[in-house]
Amino acid sequence: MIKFSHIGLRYGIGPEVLSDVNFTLEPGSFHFLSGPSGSGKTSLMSLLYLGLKPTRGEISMFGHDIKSLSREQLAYMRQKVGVVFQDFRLLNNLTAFENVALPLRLSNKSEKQIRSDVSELLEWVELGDYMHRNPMTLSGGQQQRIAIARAVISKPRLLLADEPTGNLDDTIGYKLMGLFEQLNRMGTTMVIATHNQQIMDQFYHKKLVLNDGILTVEEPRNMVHAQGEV
Amino acid sequence: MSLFQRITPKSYILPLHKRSGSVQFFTIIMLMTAMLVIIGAVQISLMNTVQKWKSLIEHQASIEIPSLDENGRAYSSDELNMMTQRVVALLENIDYTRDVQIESTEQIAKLIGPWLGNDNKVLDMNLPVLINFNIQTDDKSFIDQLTSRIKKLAPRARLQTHQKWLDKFLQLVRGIHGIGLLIVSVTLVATLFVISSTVRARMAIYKKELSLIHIMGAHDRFILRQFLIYLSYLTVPAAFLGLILAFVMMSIISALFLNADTAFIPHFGVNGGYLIKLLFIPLVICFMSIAIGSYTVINEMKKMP
Repeated sequence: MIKFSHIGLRYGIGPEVLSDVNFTLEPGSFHFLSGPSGSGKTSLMSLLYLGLKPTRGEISMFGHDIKSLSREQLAYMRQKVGVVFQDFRLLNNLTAFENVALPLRLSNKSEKQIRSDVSELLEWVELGDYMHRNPMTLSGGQQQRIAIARAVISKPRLLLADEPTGNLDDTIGYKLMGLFEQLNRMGTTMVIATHNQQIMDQFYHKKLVLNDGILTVEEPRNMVHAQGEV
Repeated sequence: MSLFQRITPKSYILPLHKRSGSVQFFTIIMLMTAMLVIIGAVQISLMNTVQKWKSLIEHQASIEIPSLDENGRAYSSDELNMMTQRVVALLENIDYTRDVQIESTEQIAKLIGPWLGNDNKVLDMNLPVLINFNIQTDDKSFIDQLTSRIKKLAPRARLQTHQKWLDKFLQLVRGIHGIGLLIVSVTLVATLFVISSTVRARMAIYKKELSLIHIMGAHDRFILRQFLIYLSYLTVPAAFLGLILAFVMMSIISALFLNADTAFIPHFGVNGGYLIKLLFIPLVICFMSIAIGSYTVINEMKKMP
């Protein structure tokens, strides 16, 4: 379970970009995160993958208050979170295989296990024939699948995706959402940041809506507005 | 895959060696090591030569009894002989003086030969008397006392202990040493800054990649390992190439300019003793690189949440 209690975030001495944010993500839940540009989506995502520390409030992740964790423990905590970035952020000096293998190397998995897991996953995302190619030589869609494979290879408990369908046409976008649904059914908690209203309407999941740093939670279908518990 | 990636372990994943700067870093480390090795060799050579000079000159003294009196009149051989015997007797009766020897006329002729010629005519001239002896103290009052006692026996005799100019020479050597140490210190500090700024620059260039692996759960020590692999794969060969470069340069200089086989000129030889002493310099550079690199990375990493 992930719980944000009275979270505030400001950069330097600037105004708060997130104000008194409260929500809970139950294990195996699926949420969309939406809001206009500059509403604080990226900041909220950064807090979720522990890339930033809140200026106030408390974050509890998988039963731990993150304030009480050492740097070493925080690193272990981050290994439980998979992130798919909008710009993929693949390392271009590594092959597709090595990019996907990266989280396993960070968690000191054996070379044998890395070889079998990565090959299997790349076959699953239909990139088995491209595993030794440099990501730069692949199409945008293929790069995105590598980014997704990298995010899920270590079986994260929480998967965050930032505008995953932003650069894709509708068909591939829906296919990708199908993949996320599949991962969610396997037990992964999902948070998908998106602007795509069609996608949000198509898939009935709760929405975390940010407006000027203030978070509201919208239920699917009947869109009940509520502040606080999800 | 580049050669760098081929030879580095699999855990090296950040392309720190790519983009400009690595070749320059390699070259600077190599040249700084070469400079430090050359300065080190000069210092060692100078010390060795000073030791040789000291062992040859220290505690050695000589008395010269000129062949002419204060009015320019030549002493008769009897007069000279008498003064010499008295001085020798005095020296032999003092505890602090030993091994008293009167230089033969032939030996003195040989010494002044370069100025007056080496023919037999020199032997016909009135040559001064030279008494060499070993003096076991450098106490100034004793030397003053001895000088005045010798003057009473041979008024124009001059005592030369070599101590004065040896002291001045040692002072000069100490000065050169000090300058050498200053250059070494400045070079080491400059090397320290080069290593530190290279690491900082690499961290800034690869900020995106670093923050990516940090987000993915890389421990600080994993990121540190990236930099240590990068630094050691550049510093170790650069430092040892610098050592080789310095030896080549010293051998050339030694062969061209310092090949006189004498104890009085510093000799830059690449022998076992030198090698062991000078091997410490690239080792120190490598150690510095690892230590400063680690410190810089850990400090910079602390800025990440």
